Amino acid sequence: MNAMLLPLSLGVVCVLSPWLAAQEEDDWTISADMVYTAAGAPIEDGVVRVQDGKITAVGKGGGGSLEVAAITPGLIDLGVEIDTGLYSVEQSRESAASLSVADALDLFSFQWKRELTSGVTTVLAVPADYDVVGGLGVVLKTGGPATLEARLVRADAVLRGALGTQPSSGNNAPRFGDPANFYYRRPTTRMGVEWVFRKAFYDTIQGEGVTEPAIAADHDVLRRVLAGELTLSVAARATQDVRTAIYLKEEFKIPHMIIDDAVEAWREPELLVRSGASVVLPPFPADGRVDDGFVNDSYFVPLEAARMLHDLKVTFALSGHGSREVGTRLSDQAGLAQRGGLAFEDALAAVTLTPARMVGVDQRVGSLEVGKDADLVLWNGKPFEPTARVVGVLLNGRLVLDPRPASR
Amino acid sequence: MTPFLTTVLASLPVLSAACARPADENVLQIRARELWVGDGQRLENALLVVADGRIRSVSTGRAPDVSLPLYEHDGVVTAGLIACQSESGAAGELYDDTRAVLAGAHTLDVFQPEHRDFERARAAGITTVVLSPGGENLVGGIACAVKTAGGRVLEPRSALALSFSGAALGRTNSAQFFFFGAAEDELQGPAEGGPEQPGRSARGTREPTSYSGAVATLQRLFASGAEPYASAERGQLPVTLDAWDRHEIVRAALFAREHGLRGAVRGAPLAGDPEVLSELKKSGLGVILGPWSAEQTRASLESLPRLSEAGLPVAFALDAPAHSPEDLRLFAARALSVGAPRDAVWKALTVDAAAIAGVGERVGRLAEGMQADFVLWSGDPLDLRSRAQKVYVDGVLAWSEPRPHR
Amino acid sequence: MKNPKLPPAARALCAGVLLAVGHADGKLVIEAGRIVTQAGPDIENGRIVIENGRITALGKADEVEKPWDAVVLGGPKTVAFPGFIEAHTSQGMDRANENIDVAPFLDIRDSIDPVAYYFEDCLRYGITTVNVQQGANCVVGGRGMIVRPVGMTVEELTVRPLYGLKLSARPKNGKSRATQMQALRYAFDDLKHYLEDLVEKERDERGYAKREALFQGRDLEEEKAQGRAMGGTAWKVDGLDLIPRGALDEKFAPLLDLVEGRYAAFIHCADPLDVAHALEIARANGFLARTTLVIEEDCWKAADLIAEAGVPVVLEGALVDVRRDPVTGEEQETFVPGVLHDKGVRFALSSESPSTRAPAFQAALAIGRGLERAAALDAVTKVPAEILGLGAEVGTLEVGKLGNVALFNGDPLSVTSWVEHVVIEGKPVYDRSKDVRNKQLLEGVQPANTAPPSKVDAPDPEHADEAGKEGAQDEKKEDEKKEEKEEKKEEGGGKGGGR
Repeated sequence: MNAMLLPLSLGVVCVLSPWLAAQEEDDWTISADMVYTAAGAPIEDGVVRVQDGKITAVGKGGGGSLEVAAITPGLIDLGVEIDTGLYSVEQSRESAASLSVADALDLFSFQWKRELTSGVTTVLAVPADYDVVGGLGVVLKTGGPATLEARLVRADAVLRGALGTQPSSGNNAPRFGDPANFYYRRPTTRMGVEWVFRKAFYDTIQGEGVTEPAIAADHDVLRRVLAGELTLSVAARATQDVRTAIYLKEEFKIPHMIIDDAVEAWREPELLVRSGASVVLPPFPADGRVDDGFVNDSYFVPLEAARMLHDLKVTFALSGHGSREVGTRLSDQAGLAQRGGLAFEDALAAVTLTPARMVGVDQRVGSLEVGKDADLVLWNGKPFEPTARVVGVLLNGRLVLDPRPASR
Repeated sequence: MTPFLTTVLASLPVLSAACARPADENVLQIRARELWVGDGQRLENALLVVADGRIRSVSTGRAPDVSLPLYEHDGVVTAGLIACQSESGAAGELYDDTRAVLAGAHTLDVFQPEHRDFERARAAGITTVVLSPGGENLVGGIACAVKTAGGRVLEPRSALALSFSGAALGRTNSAQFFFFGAAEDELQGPAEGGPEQPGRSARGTREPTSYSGAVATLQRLFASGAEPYASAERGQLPVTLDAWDRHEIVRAALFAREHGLRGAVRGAPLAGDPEVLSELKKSGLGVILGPWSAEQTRASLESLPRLSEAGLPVAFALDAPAHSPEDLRLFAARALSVGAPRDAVWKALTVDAAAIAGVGERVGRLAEGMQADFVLWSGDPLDLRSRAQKVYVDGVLAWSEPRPHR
Repeated sequence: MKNPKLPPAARALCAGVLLAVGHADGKLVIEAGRIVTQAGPDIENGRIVIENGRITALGKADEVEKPWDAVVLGGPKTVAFPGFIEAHTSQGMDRANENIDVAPFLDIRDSIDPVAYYFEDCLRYGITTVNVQQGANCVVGGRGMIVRPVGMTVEELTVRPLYGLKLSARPKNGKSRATQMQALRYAFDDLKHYLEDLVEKERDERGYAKREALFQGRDLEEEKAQGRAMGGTAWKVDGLDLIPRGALDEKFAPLLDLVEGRYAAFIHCADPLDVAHALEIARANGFLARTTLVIEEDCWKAADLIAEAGVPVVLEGALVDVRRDPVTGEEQETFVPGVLHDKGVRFALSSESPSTRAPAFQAALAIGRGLERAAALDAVTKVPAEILGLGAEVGTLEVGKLGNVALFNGDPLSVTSWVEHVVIEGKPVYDRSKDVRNKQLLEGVQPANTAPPSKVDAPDPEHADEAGKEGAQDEKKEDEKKEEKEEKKEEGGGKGGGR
C-alpha cells in the first residue's frame, strides 16, 4: 500500500497504517499444522480459540477462520532496548532507583511496530544504562493504544543497574574550572561503578537519617530489592562484570537477580549455578564478538552459550536488542540458539515462558493456555527457521498483523 | 499684578474652554465595508463606535453620528490578533541555564514596551502578545499578556509555564524540532531509526536530565503545596505545558488531569493524532500550536482542524522575534491550505487565543464593552495579499501603514 | 568464456593448475542422504563419483558403482549441494583499491592474499568458486580473477586470471556524482583520443608506434606485433589495424579490451541513480552485453531499468531494505530479491551482504520472505555461474562438471545445519571437525597454544566477614583479573589477522 497517500480523514495520520489497523473482531479460531504452546508437547493439527482478549481454548481440531502452518505464544524480549535514550535515565545522580522508566517511555516510537510485526508482543523496558542504578523498569505490550494504561503488564517489574564500562563512560575526574558540571564525579572506572552499587545498598541497610526525599525514595526501592520484592536486573557483559554482579548478589543477599546482556556469563558456570541468578543472553554476533563500545575491548559469546546454560539448569532468556536487520531479530536468535545445539522446545521457552517467569508476568503471558492473554504469533513454516517467517500476530485478542493475502 | 497672576487669569478662558469640551470628543466612528465580530458574524457596511478605549457599539445599517469624527475604511475591520507565546522585546531573557525551576520568574519583569519588536507586531496586526518562556526550563515562570502599544499590561499572571519537552532536559537542535511535525525520533539518516544518539551524556549543568526525573520533580513541587503550584491546582492560575513529541504531549495531558490543571499545551505539532487527541480531550487542555516551520508536514497542519472539530481551543504560538510577527497569518494560511475551516482558523488568531491567555472577556472580539483593539485591513485578513493599514490599541491609533515612497 | 588474449603458454599453465588441485588419479565418492543437483529433482540416498576433478557418475547409491580405491565422504543424514559460487567480492586482498581514479592496468593477481581469512570463511560456508574484483572506491579499477578459495599460492588459487574489469558508478571517496560521471566519461574519451592520436601519428609516420614500443623496451612478438581493426559496437577508431596491439600503452589497453567486449564488466551501484549512470556508460561504450551490476539494497527502485537493459545483478546489499518514510516516519521493509524476481531481473546473492555471509542462510531467508525456492537456490548456484561464464563447469551437480560439492549435515536451508565437508575439484578441502575457529565460535574453546581461563575460586559468601579470607580473596580476584586480561590479549592476537 502506498504510504505516500494521506487522505484527509480522522484516524489515518496515526502510527498504525491501514494494513496494520486492528481488526475490531474479538473472536478468533485459528488452526495450524502445529501449535507450540510452550506449556507442554506441541499439538499437531491444533486449534486455538480466543475471545475478548483471552485464550479460551487450546487443543486438537481444525476449521478455524484462519489457517496457518504454526502458532506460538507471542514472543517476549527482556532486552529489547527501546528507550528515549539519554532522556530515559536521570543522570544528575548515579543512583536513581526510585525513578521509573514509565515516565520516560515513547509509546509512539516506530520501533514498537517493528517488534510487534516480528512477533514480539511483550517486552521489558528499562532506563538506558548511563547510570549505575538507573531506575525501575516495566513490562508492557508492544501494541495497542499508545497509552501506558492500555499497554502496561507490570509496573515496577525490575530495578535496573549496570556494571562495566558504560555507566562510567560519561564521567571525568574533577578538574579545575568546571564545578557546575555534575559529570565530574565518580565513577570513572569499573571499580567506581561497583563502589556506587555497594554504597547504594550499604546506605540502604544503614538506613540512618536520610533527609533528602529523592534519596529516601531510592532507599525504599533498594529495600524492596533486598527483601526479595523486586528483582534486580543488572547489565554485565564482561566475565569480570558477571562475577561482580554475583558477588554483589551474595554479599548483600539479594534474592532475585537477572544478569542482562550477559555476553560472557557462560565463562562462569559454577558461579551462576551457585548464585541462582538468571541470565539474558545478547543477540549472537556473527563472529561471536561483541565490542565494548566505550573502551577498546571486546567480549565473546559462543553459539553454544544457550545450550551450555540450559545444561547447567541456569534460567535464561534470549534477546534481540530491537534489531533492525532481518535475520538478527528475536525469532532469529531462537534459530541461532538451536544452531548452537539448543533443542527447539528449549529455544521456544527461552523466548516465551521463561522470560515471562523471570519478570513475574507468567500468569498473563508466555504460553498458550486457557485464561492467558491472547498474544499469538502465526507462522508460515517451522518457527525460528529462516525459511519461515511471522505472517500474523494477535495482541490481546486483536489481529494486528493479518496473515491473509488479500489484505496485504 | 504679578506675572503669575496674569498668566493664570489669561489662561482661564482656555481652561474653561477645555472643561467645557464635550466628553464625546474622544469617540471614534469607523465605517467599514466589512466587519468581523469574531463569533463568526460578518457585517457589511458596518459601523464601529469606540470611546474611552472601549467598544461602544458594533452595528450595521445604522447611520453614523455626523457630529463625531468618522473614518471610512474600504476594507475589513477585525479585532486585533493575539499572539500566544512570544518573547517580543525579551529575546534571550526568558530562560536560565543554571536552574530548571524558575517559579519566581515573571516575564513581566522583562516587558519593554518601547522595544521595536512591538512595533513590528503592531504592523502585523497583533494587538496583544503573551510574553512566555520557551520550554527550556522545567518551570519557566509566570507569563503575562501585554498590549503591543501603550505599555499596558493586560494580565500580569496569564499562566504558569511548565515544560514537558526535551528542551527542558537539554535536548537541543531546534532544526529537528520541526522536521516531520515533531521532534520525534530524529532521523539520523534515511536508514537509521530510533531516538537520537547525541553522545554519552545529557547537559551536565542542570538536573533533571530525564523525563522521569522531570516528572518526579514536578510531582514534588506540586505536592509541596507552595505557590504558584497551589494556585494552579486550584484552577486560579492557568498553565502552559510545553510538549512536542506525542509522548510528551500525552505525559503533559496526564499530569494536568491528575492535578486538575487548566490551560494549554504548547508546541504539539501532532496534537491532532487521534490517540493524543483523546488524551487531550480528557484533560480539557487547549493547544497553542507551533510555531510552524516551512517543512511542517501536512499531518501536523491538520492538527488544527482536528482539534477544532473536537471542540478544543486552539491558538498559534508566535515565538517572536525568532519568528517574524507576519508569520502568525502565515500559520493561519497554512492551516487553511489543508482545509481547516476559516472560522476555526480565525478563532485561533483571536477568540481562542484570548481565552487561552486568560483574557477572553476583554479582547478578541468586537463587541460592546470589549477593549478597543482592532485592525483595519486592506482586505480579507486570512488572505496573505491583504495587509494591515491601521492598528488601534485601546482605542488609540497605534500604527499606520507608511505612505509608499514615490 | 575463455579470454582469447591469453597466449597458449598461459592457457596451458591454467589447465595444469586445474589439474594440480585434484590428485592425479584422485577418486572421491560422496554418499549423501540427499543430493541437491540443481539440475533436476533431488536424489535420495545418492552417490557422486568424482575422478580427476570432475563428476563422472551421479545417481542413486544402488545404481552408481563405487570405485574400490575412492575416498568416501558423507553419511545417511548428509545433504550434498553444489559448491556455492560467489559472483563478486572485493575481499581477500591487501587493499581493495588504488588511489588513482582510472587504473585498468591493475591486476588483482598482485594483491590477492591466499591466506586471507575471507577464503577460509568461504570454505566454512561451502563457497567453492569466487570472483574477486577490485573494490568500488574507484572510477575504473583493474582486472580481477576467478579463484577457488584453497591453496597457499596465487597459482593454486587461480581458476581464471585476468577476468573482469571493475568500474564504479557510486562516487569514489571525495567525488560527487557529477564528477564521478565526468570521470567515467573522460576515461573513455581519453582512450578514444589516445587511439586517434596514435593512428594519426602512425599515418604521418609509418612505423611510429612500433618504434615507440621498442624504444620503451617492449618486444613485439607474434600476436603483439599484429594490428587489428577495432572491434566493439559503440564507437570505433578507424585505422587501428595499423597499430601493433602490443604497442598500445598498457594503461589504455585493458580499457580498449573492455570496449571491444573482451572483458566482463562489473559496475558498482549504491543508489538507483547510479544504475542509470552505469547503464549509460556501458551502452555508450559498447560493453552492456558483458556488464553485471553490483548493487546495494536501494537499487531495487531501479529494477525496471535493469530489467529493460537485460543485465544481471549481484546483490551486495541487505536482503531486506529497511527504511523510514521521511514524511510519515513509518518503517517500510522491501524484500529486494522479491522485487528483482518480479521484474524479471537475473540476480545472484553474495557473501558480501550485511544480512549474513552464508549463501545457504541467505537463500533460506529469501525463501522465508516469499521468494520461490528454485529462484533462491539458483541465486547462489546457477545464476552466479552463468554470470561468470562458468555455467558449463560449476553451479550444478551433473556428470562432466567440476566436482565442487558442499556437504551439509542436514537440510542446507535449516538453521541447525552446518557445512561439514567441502570438496573442490574432487579434493576434500574442508572438514568442520578439524576447524579450530569454528570450534571456538561454537563452544568458546580456547585456540591452541593460548592460556586457558583459570578456574575461578570465588569467595565463599558464608565467611565473607573473616578478614584473613577477605585479603586472600582480594588477591585471588586480582589474579583472576590479570589472567583475564592476558587471556583477552591472546584471543585478540589470535583473531588479529582475521577481520
